[in-house]
Amino acid sequence: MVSYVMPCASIIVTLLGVLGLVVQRRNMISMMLCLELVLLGLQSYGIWLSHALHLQDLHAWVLAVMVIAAVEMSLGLAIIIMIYQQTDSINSDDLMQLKE
Amino acid sequence: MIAHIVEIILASVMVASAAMVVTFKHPIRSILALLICMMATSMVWLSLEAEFLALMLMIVHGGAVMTMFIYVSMTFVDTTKVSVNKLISCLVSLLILGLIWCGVLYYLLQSESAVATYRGFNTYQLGVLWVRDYPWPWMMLGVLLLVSMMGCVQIVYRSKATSSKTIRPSEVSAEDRLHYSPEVNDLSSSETIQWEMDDG
Repeated sequence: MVSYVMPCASIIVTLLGVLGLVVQRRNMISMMLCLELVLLGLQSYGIWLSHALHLQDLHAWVLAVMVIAAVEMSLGLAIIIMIYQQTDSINSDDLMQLKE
Repeated sequence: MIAHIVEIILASVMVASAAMVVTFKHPIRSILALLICMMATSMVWLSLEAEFLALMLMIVHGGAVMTMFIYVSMTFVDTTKVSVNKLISCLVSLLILGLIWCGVLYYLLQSESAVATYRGFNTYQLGVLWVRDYPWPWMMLGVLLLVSMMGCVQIVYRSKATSSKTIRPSEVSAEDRLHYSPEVNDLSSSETIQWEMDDG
């Protein structure tokens, strides 16, 4: 019998990540962490789906998502470092120069 | 029955730590909460016969990406004011948590679904899948990793020649910018448009 605890938890984790990304934008590090939560939830859901439907191919694509997430985080952190070197701040509210 | 209880506990830890990531104000605490979430997730993946991906999650995301996050966050956050008592209490709580994790991992590895993981069956199947069925996506992922590594170095690297020419848009005020004055420039004439600057 398939348990539905894991997909519910992974969907909640994904929604928490989306909520954190949209509602709370204190600094860019927090936004990156919420993005990581979204991807983690989706990966967990993929793993459960592959176990429930006995599809081994989904494992391969979850690994691809994991690699893309790592690439995205590294590039995002590099951009954050660059922004900090330019503006001495990682607060997302300080990057609203186009609004002036 | 016990397996179901363990699954519920791990899923609860996942959701609770994800909520902590979103609600904590201090970035280092959010990162540590995400690390706990990843540990619980990898435990669940172990129970779902995905041992290779569970290990990859802990090694790559927990060990490399989160460490990178902590290094970068420590350049922005003041971490010099740490009391010794708080540090000792943190270490003790981490030790207890680590012992609990070891107990859960031991239980998971003794379960029936973990017998296949001892032989690395999932790892072998995944390797065959990538090399035989999806070789081109596998190679493209490697190229992607290489390109991202080069991109990170290119973004952050500042040589002596470029460091002096750094443009700081935050230092430019609105009064110093150029403004177009229609009184000075007659649009009907064919002469060059003149710009005036506010001395403000």
